[in-house]
Amino acid sequence: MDFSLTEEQRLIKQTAAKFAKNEVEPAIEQLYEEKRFPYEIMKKMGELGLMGLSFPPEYGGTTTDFLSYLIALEEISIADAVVGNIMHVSISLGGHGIYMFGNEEQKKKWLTPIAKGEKLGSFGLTEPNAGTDAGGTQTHAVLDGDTWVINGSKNFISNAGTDMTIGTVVTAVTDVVDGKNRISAIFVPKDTPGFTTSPNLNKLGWNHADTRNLYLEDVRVPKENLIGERGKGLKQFLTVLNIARITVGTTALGLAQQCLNESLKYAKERTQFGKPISKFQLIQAKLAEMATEIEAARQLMYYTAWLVQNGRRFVKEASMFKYFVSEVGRRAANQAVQIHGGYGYMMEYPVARAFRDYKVMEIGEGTSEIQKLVIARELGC
Amino acid sequence: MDFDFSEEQLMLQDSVRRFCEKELPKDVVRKSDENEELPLSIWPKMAELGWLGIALPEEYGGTGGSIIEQLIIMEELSRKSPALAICFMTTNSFGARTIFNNGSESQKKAFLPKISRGEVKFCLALTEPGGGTDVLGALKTKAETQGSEFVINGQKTFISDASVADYMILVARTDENPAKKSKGFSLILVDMNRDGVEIQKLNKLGIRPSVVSEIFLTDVHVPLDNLIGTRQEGWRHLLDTLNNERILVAGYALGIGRSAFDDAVSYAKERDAFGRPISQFQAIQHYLSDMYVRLELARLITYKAAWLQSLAKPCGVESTMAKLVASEAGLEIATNGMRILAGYGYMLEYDMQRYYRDAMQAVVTPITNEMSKNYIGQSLGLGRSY
Repeated sequence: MDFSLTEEQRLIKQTAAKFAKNEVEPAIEQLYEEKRFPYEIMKKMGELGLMGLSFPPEYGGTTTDFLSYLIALEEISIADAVVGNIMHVSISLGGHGIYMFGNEEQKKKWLTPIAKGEKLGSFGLTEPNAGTDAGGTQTHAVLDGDTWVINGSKNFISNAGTDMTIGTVVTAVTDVVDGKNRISAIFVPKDTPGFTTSPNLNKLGWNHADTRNLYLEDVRVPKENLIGERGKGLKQFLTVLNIARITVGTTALGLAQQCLNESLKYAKERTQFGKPISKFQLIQAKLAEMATEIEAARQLMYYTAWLVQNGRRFVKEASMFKYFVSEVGRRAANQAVQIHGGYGYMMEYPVARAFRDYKVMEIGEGTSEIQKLVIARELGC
Repeated sequence: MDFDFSEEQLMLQDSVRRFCEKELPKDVVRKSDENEELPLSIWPKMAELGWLGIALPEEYGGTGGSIIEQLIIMEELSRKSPALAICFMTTNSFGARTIFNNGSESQKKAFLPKISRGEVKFCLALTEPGGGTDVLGALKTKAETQGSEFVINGQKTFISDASVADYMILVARTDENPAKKSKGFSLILVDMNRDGVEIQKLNKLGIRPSVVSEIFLTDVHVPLDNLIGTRQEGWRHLLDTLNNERILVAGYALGIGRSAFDDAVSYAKERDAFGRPISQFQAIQHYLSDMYVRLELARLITYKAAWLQSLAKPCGVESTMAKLVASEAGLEIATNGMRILAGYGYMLEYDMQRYYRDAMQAVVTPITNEMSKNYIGQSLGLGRSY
């Protein structure tokens, strides 16, 4: 057994932490208030190589070390979990969808700009009638000669409408076999005629994230835009989703750590009854619980990453991590606001944002309820 | 990073597992619980297999393993007999580790090979009626020097395995006015058969074969040579053992949690309701998922602490977190197991109620989880709150 990080991993952690502290943290309050997408931050992250983590240099990537990606993602998310999520969507959902199943030409053409951070990737699965049960997909694509003609709509799609978006991998029904829909993944470049997006959706949190509904009306893309095998889109998606569960979980871990950091700082400064509230056992217990849960979740993240890197099965662990850490995020955000008292309810405090932002982490990439069913299935139930 | 056990560790785990399957079947363990008696007939076999000297070097009859191997044995024993696991801990950690870290060469030569051969057992006499959490504040047992002897007077309580131990590692006050609260204590090796040592068994809720006792010490004379380590430095000497204890108690809770989980899964798959096994209902699946998640988290954080201690790195906070996470997990898993087995779980002929009773002990020992959080809070730079 060995629980230590390599020299390279430590270096990536330092680089990401420094960037998060200097460039992300100071910018967020205003971006959040103005609901502005963090273009400058994302561009700089690309220049630093952070958007190419987990991809090889031949496709513009930085390193294939998966753990390095998680380590950097956690550090970015400690400064702001929403920026962390933009990173996670681009790399895990957009990038890995193409990296794992795309052909050489597709990787060169679409993955490389994503990995270099010049463009952002996105993935469109969810529909008005298909969320947890992706089998309910209604968007369909038919071949007209050498061209896919796609019709349908998608809901709640992250990164889909920014100026940096390269396009969206959408899932669509392409065949019906024995009365069952067969789904394929097709890359639709941004600005393809007939491919339109709603304005950025109003959300409870994640103000500066880009989340849109997509409309596809007779959208025509070349046959070559099919990613992976025809009819295997759902299976491919589940593979990508397993990776994305780990990384969305990592953003929740960052959020929890941010809540702990902010609460420690506040508790040491805030004086009541003649002493800092950090001296009171009830406050200490909250902080100790947060720290312990975060540490346990982080070990589970490392373990899951290690399984991924060693080519072992990690479906159960990915779900366990995502389920557990999103709850750790909830408890941390809730207790952080409690420790901050009235101040925690004010939007100028990061913990107020965290309280809004954590919730979707219990929903996206599979609800907690679904994660528990996945775990139980893996346990043989 | 590397989360794999080595080949040798896997073999050890496998052989402890097979040994326990064979030597500790459920009826033996149930009888042991009913009679409040440890299944010690297998102790010599454990010695033969090299487990009792697991973390000792070969020159002292040990097997040369590390804390990780020690934890593997603890976890596997606890899956079958948590009480026997605790006895393994009192001898292997309280006895062997304390003497190995702090004893003189002649003490090591005298006791460690005997421990490895399974000839002697130990207990640790620390807690007193006046306090366990604030143990240093409450510690009144005195050892006074008279000629070439210590004369000891005082009382200890909640001492695990005092009833089966041959020796105790006694923590006694040897300086009435120390410069610091943590000074003025000494570790003294006391033969349980000495005149003036009396023990009285206490009845308790769970882990019943692991008997805890009060120890009364009245004018007990032992040679000054029985001092372990340096006089007045007893508390410092003990810290490494106490971290080790937290890791092993986490292992104890892991073993119970694992058994409770396994029993709950098999029951859920066999029990039919509304025309299908209850394992197919989402409400039951969610319990089982939660139980497994808690178990896996506890395992990871416990082995991380063991890994740190095996490399002699600081592990005070990590071992405390491990004990906190694992003990709460053990109790939660056993509680959910009780819900899944419902009426049957409440019946004494099923083991779930025993896991439930046994799991509680780790929540309040060796320190309460409230105290664990105080300690973790302190480590976050919040100052001492107690």
